[in-house]
Amino acid sequence: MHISVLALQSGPCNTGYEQRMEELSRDLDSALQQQSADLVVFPELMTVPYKSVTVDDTYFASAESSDGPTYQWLAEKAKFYQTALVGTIFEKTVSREQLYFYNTALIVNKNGEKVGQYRKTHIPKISLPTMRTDETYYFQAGSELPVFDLGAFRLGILICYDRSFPEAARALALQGADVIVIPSASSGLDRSEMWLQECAARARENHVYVIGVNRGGIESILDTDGSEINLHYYGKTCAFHPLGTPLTQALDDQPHQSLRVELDISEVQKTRQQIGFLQTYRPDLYEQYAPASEAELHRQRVRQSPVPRETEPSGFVR
Amino acid sequence: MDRHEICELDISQAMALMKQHQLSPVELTQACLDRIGRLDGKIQAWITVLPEAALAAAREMETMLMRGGPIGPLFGIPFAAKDLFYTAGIRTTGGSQADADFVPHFDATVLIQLKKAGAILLGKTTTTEYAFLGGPPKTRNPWNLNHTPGGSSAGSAAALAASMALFSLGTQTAGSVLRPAAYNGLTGLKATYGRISRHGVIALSWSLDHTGLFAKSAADAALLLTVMAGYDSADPGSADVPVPDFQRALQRDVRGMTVGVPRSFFTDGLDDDLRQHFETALHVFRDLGVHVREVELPASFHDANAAHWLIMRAEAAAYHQDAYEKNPHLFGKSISEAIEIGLRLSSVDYLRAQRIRSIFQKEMNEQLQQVDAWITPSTPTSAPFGISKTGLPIFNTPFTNAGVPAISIPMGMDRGGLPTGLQIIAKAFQEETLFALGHAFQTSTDWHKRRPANL
Repeated sequence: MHISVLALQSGPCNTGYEQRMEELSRDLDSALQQQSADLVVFPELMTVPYKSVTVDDTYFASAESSDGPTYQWLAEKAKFYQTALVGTIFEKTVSREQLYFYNTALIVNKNGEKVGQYRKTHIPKISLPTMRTDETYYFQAGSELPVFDLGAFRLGILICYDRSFPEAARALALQGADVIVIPSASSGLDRSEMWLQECAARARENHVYVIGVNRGGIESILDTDGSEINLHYYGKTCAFHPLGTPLTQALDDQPHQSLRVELDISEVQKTRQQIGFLQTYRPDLYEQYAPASEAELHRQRVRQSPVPRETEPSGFVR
Repeated sequence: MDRHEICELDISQAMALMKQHQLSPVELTQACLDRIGRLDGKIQAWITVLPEAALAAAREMETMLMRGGPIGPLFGIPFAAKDLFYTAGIRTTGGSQADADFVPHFDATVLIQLKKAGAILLGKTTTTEYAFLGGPPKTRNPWNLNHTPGGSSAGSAAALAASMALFSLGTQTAGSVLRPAAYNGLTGLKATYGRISRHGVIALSWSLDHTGLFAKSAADAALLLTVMAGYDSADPGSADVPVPDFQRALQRDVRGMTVGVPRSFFTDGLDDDLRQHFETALHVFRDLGVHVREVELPASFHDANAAHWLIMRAEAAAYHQDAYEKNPHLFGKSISEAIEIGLRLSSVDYLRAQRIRSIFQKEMNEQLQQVDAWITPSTPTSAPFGISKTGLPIFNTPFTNAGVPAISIPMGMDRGGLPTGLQIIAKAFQEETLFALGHAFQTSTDWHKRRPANL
């Protein structure tokens, strides 16, 4: 079974919602008018700028529900082009009268129906000399790692930072994912090689196809003091075979490009039979070394700490 | 003097001007209110501002001043209280949805003492939910809006750093006063356990909770403690000990004093800026004639930290249990997790933790007997990036756990333009040593006089 996947390396988001959707439409239309696809994947948070490098409460106003305007747009495009789409939003939802915000991917089939959604599960707060981000200010973490049946194949999704957690990709592979797509909004040119290595590793260790989709170009974010933060997205939209080898050369850092690959889904089973990491996998073994909870560690320390018999609990200084 | 300069006065400067009739209490309160109005949109330090009540109190002070009536030690000084302190007839939320509409019918003891001394309450400031480690408010650090002001007393620290008040009240159960003081370039004080009343302060953990304060200098802190300290039969943890005039300690000669610097833990993995600031600060003390020597941590130091971790959760669970079980959805993630852990702890684990703590307190006091004070950096880093987490209290927790007094004073500015702090720790009920050393340091340095620019 062969499927055709189109990865759209969008540009930076330096505009409002309407113009942004026009941009994304142009990217999508120009690629699909030449040749159809079975699955199209957009980068992370495709409709909004990446504001986690600053603290901006107006950002929350750009959040939308999972059946909001972007879902409607995806549904129309899916029906028109008869292709499945993975689009991404800054999701807002209400539960028990409280608002929650997620970094979410929506999966729409070729009939325009929502197959499901994935909410980013690993939310970074990173402070490196070359890159600082605090997504925890804006997003709650999702609590599930679902897979989605799209007829000919089973799809798993990781969003950006999720890719750095082998356990997450493993959980998708163990549920039978054939393809893992990784929508991202990753900047910092010095990190682009690591991105490729991580995508390749997730493909090889799980014998799945991995498609990494990033933005390209420079995005300007207004900082709290009025200065500009320029995010240089490194692009490098890429595709890897279940053996971990690149299917084609990754894109460079230029915006508005696409990467098209043909995937032979039978290669997934074939690779698994040839190497079989998943058959040799020993979850019971690793379980023994899983870290104890913080509470358990503190409890153990307290239980093991020597206390002479005559010591009374005071809790007061006198 | 323009409005901005008025807000930047410290307590003794403002008092002197008011006594000379060069500044009126109304002018001072109005200047702070104006500044709150202008800046709080971006700092978000306040939950409730009380312009009418504050101005009415200021007008009363003004009348009294014109009539030549008695002038209290904090006459006409506007301040902020963390929204954990009960205020009669004024909403007190604890930073939680669960208490969003709670209106106490009495004032916390310290508020009564402060008002009696002439201080004017401007309003209530933000806190992490119920003063626990997580559940941060949206408050930003005035030195850099992309950084946390620390917590849990986030709003009190940010409000003072942005000169919206002349002092502010906080509480500390782990590092909730000294850490934000360091992150905001302020002088922060946590007195000995039992020194200041906690009656009418929403509890987090009874045996660890301390009422604390933020000031612009050690001298202001000494004045404030003199007003706030004292036995209160309504607080079961309150200590019935004499209260000295702490301002006298400011005159004390520090020459010949000995301070201990712990050989490990407090300098492990410090970033370069902090290490350098700390070394420079030790030189300042040496130049003042203070002997500096290395000291060992008590044997039970790390076990006691684990004990603190358990005790705080067990007591928080005991305090919040009824409300939590009735309305769990009103409690945020962080405090909910703490309560859940606390509810599952065994009574024997809790009591063993308290026994370990008793050993640690004894050992810590023995160690402190060998010197006049300990000195450490107040925090392992300057204020971290982002406002979703409030930084680590690990350098403050041991001294909260031991119940001994500690002060944080500014000791430098790092490469990112953020302040760093120095922590001084003294024997139980020896706060005078903190003020003597802190004031001497602030006489030789001017870090405590820096204020954020471009606000």
